[in-house]
Amino acid sequence: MKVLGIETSCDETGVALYEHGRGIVAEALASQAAVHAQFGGVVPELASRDHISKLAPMVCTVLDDANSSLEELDAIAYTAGPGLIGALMVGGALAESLALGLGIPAIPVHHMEAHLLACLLERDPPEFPFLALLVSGGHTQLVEVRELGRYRIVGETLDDAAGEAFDKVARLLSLPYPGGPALAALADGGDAERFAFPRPLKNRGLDLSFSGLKTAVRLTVEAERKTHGGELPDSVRRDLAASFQEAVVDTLASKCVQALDATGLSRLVVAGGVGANRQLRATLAELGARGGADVHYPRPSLCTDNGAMIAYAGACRQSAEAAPAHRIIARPRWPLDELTPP
Amino acid sequence: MKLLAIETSSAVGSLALLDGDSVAQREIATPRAQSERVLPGVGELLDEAGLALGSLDAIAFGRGPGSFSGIRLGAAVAQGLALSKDLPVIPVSSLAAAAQRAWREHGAERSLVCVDARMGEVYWALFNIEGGLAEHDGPERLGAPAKLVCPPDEPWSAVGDGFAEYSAELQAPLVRAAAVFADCRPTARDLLPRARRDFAAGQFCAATAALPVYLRGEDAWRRQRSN
Ligand SMILES: Nc1ncnc2c1ncn2[C@@H]1O[C@H](COP(=O)(O)OP(=O)(O)O)[C@@H](O)[C@H]1O
Repeated sequence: MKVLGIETSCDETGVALYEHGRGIVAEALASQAAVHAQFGGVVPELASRDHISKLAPMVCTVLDDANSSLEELDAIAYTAGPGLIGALMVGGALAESLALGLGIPAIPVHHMEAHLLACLLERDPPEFPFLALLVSGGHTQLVEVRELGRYRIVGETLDDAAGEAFDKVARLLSLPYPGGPALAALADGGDAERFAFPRPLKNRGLDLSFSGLKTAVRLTVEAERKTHGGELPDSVRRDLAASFQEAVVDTLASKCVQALDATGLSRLVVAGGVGANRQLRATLAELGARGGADVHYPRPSLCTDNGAMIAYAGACRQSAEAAPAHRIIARPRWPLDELTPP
Repeated sequence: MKLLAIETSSAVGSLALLDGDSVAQREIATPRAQSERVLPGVGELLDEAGLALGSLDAIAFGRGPGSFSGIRLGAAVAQGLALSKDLPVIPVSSLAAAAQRAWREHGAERSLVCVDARMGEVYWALFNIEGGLAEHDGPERLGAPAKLVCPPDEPWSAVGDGFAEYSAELQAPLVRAAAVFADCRPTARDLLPRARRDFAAGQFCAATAALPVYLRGEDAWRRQRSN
């Protein structure tokens, strides 16, 4: 069975072909970082414009690369939410109309469920049940995953998402958009102990908070600017980045330990864009080794938005979906725990 | 000739199916309904006509200018349907479709079409009917209503919701217009004459190249940001 996956929920256009028994056969990804960099953040209308000009040619490229064709497809999966409404609409409209024309089902996929399942595409995938740390630009959640479609959110951020905090602090340090990877690179070789930033809500349940941390960094940046007569020396910027990253990673790691405890689970899966962060991966791996938990994370390219995870999530749900109604579905807000097993 | 036309550039969308000389059509009001109803509507039109998608010659869509999400929806649906059956796509100006309709319904031979573009601006263009077809007389433009230039000669009609939305700013042209058809929106049916002609002349594109025409470029967001 062959499933085409289409992702257009934010600022990445992703297309991939998944085949049962073979896995991901071909994929393509177009990042809009350059489009939005000049604005310092995603401009929704420009994101939609980029999606529509790139998506259809990418579908053709992926099928060519896989030596396949539209006629061979069994289903088309697309991200139906959550995400930017206009961007979602482009992928949904193309997927649903292709499916109508081909006489095959279109499968609306929940973007965060796709992130949760991405690690199952790796060699040596974890078994259900597991605890997932979902950390992206828009979400920071700890999710108990009992089985496909049975999710319970056991903790989440009360304000900013972890990726958002990375992006905002990156801006404070005048780093280019998207800030997360740039900040992680700057933190390399910095002194993570130079600035003692707070670990918000550290011992208070499983919820998280990052806005206080962001404020603490801002105040320190301002104080350091004054001390150094306006410009921050490179060494200070490096140390600020390293200390901030350490505070985020430390907070996420300790919440994971608490959540593993609270749920009695022994497997931890890391998903979402911030999951690409090397420091986070190293810390969680070490923690798993010490505490006896089994820690899984997909390769970085499967952590950030991509078409492969959409194709795979679609394939997991395909068999059980209802007959095609050809309604384009775009749900900007869509709570993960509203999902049910197929 | 068999053509499917999709027009979703305004708040009232529509579909039309041309089969030889007969035209079937469907209206899809409200922008929200457009995304939910457009594909079921296509299925119903084809079923009622007893036609298969693959038997069509081409797919036409209103390429704008107009509502950004609307014209993207039309483009994406045209792309998807056409790609699935390897059909060509014919992008047609939504402003021209409004002029075409003004002629069909009111006999307007010369129309200044002006459509609300939000952000205090309008899209406009001038059209003449030649051989039953709305032909551009000058380029399509975007700008403040005050920049709109009246045709100097011959009687002309004021067509499009821009004339209702900015009736105060457009007082001068409105006074000079021979007739005003502010509620004359583009419809899918009014894309068909142009689409027919273009198809016969070999003027169409591949599904992957069927894109909306926005008129408003990236610099609008750059300006907005620096304000
Ligand atoms: N190496 C990294 N370190 C920290 N944050 C990162 C890294 N790589 C990506 N990110 C962050 O991940 C987020 C994007 O992740 P993604 O899963 O694509 O999010 P979303 O789907 O919410 O846009 C951004 O906030 C980005 O800054």
